[in-house]
Amino acid sequence: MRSAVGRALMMLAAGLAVVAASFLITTLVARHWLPSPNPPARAIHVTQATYGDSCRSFVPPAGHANLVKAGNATALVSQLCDNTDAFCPAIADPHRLGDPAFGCDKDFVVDWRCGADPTIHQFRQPPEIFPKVVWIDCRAQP
Amino acid sequence: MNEAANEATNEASHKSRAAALMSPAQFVMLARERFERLFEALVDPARRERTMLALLAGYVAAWSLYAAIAKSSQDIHPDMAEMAAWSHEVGIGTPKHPPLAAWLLRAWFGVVPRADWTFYLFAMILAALALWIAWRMAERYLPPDKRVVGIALMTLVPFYNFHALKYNANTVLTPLWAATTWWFLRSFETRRAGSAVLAGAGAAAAMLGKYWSAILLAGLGIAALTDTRRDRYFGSPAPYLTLAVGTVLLTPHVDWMIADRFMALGYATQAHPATLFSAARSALGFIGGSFGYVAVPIVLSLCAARPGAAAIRDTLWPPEPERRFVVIAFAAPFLLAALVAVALQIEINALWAISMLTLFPVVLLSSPRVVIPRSAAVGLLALAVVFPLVMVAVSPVVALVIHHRGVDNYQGDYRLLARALEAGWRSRTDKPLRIVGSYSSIVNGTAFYIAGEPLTFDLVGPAQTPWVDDDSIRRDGMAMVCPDEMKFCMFVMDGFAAHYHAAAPTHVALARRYLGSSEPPVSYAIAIIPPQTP
Repeated sequence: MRSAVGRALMMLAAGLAVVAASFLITTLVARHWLPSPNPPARAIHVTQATYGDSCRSFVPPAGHANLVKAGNATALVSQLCDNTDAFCPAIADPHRLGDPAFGCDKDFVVDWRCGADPTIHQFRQPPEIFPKVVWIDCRAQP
Repeated sequence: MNEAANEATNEASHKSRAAALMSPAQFVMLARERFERLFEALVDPARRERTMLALLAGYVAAWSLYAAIAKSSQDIHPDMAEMAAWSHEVGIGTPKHPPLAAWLLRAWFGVVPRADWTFYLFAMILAALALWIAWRMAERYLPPDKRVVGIALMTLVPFYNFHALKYNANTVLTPLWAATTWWFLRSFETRRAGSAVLAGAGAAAAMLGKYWSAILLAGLGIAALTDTRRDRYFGSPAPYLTLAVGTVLLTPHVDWMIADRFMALGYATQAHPATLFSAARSALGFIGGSFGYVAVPIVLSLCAARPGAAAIRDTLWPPEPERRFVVIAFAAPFLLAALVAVALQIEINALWAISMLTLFPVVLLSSPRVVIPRSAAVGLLALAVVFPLVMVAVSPVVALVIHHRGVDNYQGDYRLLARALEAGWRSRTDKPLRIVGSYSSIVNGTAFYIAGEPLTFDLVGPAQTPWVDDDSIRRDGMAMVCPDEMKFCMFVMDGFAAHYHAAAPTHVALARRYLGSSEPPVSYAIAIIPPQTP
């Protein structure tokens, strides 16, 4: 029994070693010969996007929970605007984000960086404005 | 020689005249005799391979013709258009999926003209390739007559015709999973280096087709680990060779993904979010829907073989390790897909089973207790041959029905939009149209029909079209279009128009005409950002 387990572990280790060695060697070769993604110098990097930040302390009606979390729209907005330097509409799409605070008028806050510049830019769209779009323009940022 | 040819021509002409005069019963007799001869050719070791290749060529021709006619009242599907757009500019990755489907399309349109019918032809060639691989693989597990029945039944599954026609990241997996499964089974059983290398190459190609392929690879791994012959396999160099080749071929893409911060993988996991309950429901729907897709072949084979309980038990859990291995390799990806959906809380669709059926004929028919009478086998072959021909015959009706019912995503207007955008562009500048912008499905569909293959720009998600940047928009300009009724697209287009100093939008009403009847017109706004280059 022990020898069977030992043999299985040996095979697993051998498999992992093969994968690791193949990956490392090929990575070195690939990085030398193949182009890597080369985003523009002033590419947008969304650091955080939150839909409904203004509703964090809101108490929803019975049967509903307050699900607002900082960064609840980061993944969605990153898919729309990351790594491009074109003028970009960061969109809070309620169909994809759901309603994190039923009954509360939600704002939309987006934080982003431009290229290698560590400065964080932020824009907050107030709850009363529709549609929920924040335009990001890294080319115009100082 | 000429005399003999004349004689043959006369005889053929006599036969066709006779056929025109024969009664329905005589016609059925003659047809039956023809299908008997075809069946004979398909089980004859000397003729079966070339006969199957000829049949598959006919299959490709018939379904491509069906698509060209039935879909002539609409333009290409947005998924196909998306692949076409990516195929211009794709490198080692795309914004949503791995790149292989776009690479293949680029190669195809490098040698054939860009047109709807060539697109459908390419899609059907891939489906036929998967059928051919299933045919070759079945040789090892099925007697000749069941092998013919198995492929005949597969051609009745919509995955190999109706759905196969819509080329996308799912359909490209059909031949890739088939090849990977075939080579892996050979590698597992023979442990030869060549098969192991091919299995690794197939696994990498499948992963480069869609990340969903991880399900297949895990399923094959489970089949190997649960088989009684596993010690021989894992004690040989074969699995390590497979792992090495697969890793080497996949690494450039993985390296690209790391540099791209796993955006495409993010799409794979975030595009179909679900709650635990809806994920579980979709997992059940996936299994049930998959059964639905193969229901016709299952029912037909049950009617033909009339298996008893022992035969069904033997089919579902065979006593022989070779057959049980195949059953596990077939079933494991389905179960894994359902488990992954629940674990990751994502919704899965039965359409994603499109590539999972390579082993279906072997599982269905390999039991020695399942006996298909010859008359039934010939009948199933006849059905498989006649079905595509019937679909070609009714394809004009399908086109008319589609025209009258309408299509989603403005799919009927892409060609008209292309002409309208070209005209709008030419009215502003004599420079070539290099960039078109719109909502994703519209921009991809429209770009396919514009001469010069312009780049696409997704107004609602610029990161999805990384080949267009701020400089290129300012330098080359851009022609933008949105349906007036699509308020969000219009809002975003107005934002771009103001930012990049576009001219005031013009409005056009477009209505597709087909065989004299028009769809209700749809109004579109077109805005042109003129190029800044002198």
